[in-house]
Amino acid sequence: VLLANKIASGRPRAVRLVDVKPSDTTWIGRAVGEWACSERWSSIWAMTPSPEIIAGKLWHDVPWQQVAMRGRAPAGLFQLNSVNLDDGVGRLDFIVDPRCQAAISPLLFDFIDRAFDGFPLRKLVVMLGSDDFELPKGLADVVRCAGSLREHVRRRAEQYADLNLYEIWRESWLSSRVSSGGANT
Amino acid sequence: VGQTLSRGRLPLCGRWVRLAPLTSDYTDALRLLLADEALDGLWPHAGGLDVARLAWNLGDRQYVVVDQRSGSVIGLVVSLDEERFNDVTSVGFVVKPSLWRVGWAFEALVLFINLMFETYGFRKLYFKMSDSTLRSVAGSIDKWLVKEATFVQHARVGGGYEDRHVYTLDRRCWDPMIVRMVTGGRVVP
Repeated sequence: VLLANKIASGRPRAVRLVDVKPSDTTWIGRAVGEWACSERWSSIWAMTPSPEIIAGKLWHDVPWQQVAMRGRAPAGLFQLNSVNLDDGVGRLDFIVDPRCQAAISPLLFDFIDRAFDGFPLRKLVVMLGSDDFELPKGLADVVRCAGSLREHVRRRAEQYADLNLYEIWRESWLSSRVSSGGANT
Repeated sequence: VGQTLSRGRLPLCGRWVRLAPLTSDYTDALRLLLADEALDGLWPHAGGLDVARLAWNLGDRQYVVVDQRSGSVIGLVVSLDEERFNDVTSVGFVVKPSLWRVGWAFEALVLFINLMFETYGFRKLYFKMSDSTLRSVAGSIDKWLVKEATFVQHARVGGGYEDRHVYTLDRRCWDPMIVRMVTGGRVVP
């Protein structure tokens, strides 16, 4: 199925998912605060996090993650974390180079495919600052908005952004992938 | 009130209850409290062995709730997932099931909320509740809190799943005089 998805998506050859290495803390440390990200990474954007803090975000409570490569350069990180198998719920977090967002969206879809394929999850939860990241169309059509935490994320003195909470249900995701031929673009 | 609450690590006394910082002295009492079958599914570690350690690991600030008259532990209130950069945190509150419908036990929550806002400077508090919890506090929630999100069928309870609701309280909506009203002005450290 994954191979078929890759063919159907017509993805440029230059983008691919690879395993995370300890040395990835270096580029992630530089990307924090500059790249678009979900809640897990947004809380440290205004700090100067140590490699240990970056490593904690990278490895703590993260059963599976992949780096999105564009050419030879990392363009994003996708993480499945906070998995609760009793509830069948996990969290999806990411940090993405905004210049490559469109190019690596198919990789995000592949990552979600594999998360549902590899883990017995009923749904994934995504938390995004309202001005952090625009959901790609194939994802925006599928997610259910659970609500919005008003003025949750500090941007600058006395200015806050909402934190939007989304759910990706397994059935909705899989059926959208089937109906789009795996493209979701 | 502000003066008496400024020393946050000290016990806080209201009219009916006292909040005491969690120490090992309360382990046995907490174990007894959280082992109550009625708390299954409502509190993540009910029935656990080292409940004090679990409570310490679960949250960032933990206070046991002590009945002023009997001196017995009737609950636990904690601050979870504190985000100092955003000045938001979540509140976890568990009270002896036999006191769920007794208003005075919630004096502990008022004391703790005031502590979070007035002493520690948080600007927004979150309360995450399952359908079961909502039923146990029926009627009184909407008067105090605003619902901002609902995760549908989010948590396994018994043989099925329950929704998880996210309620909030903004500091701008909090009047420290509420503490004086609820406690009859008897808040002392």
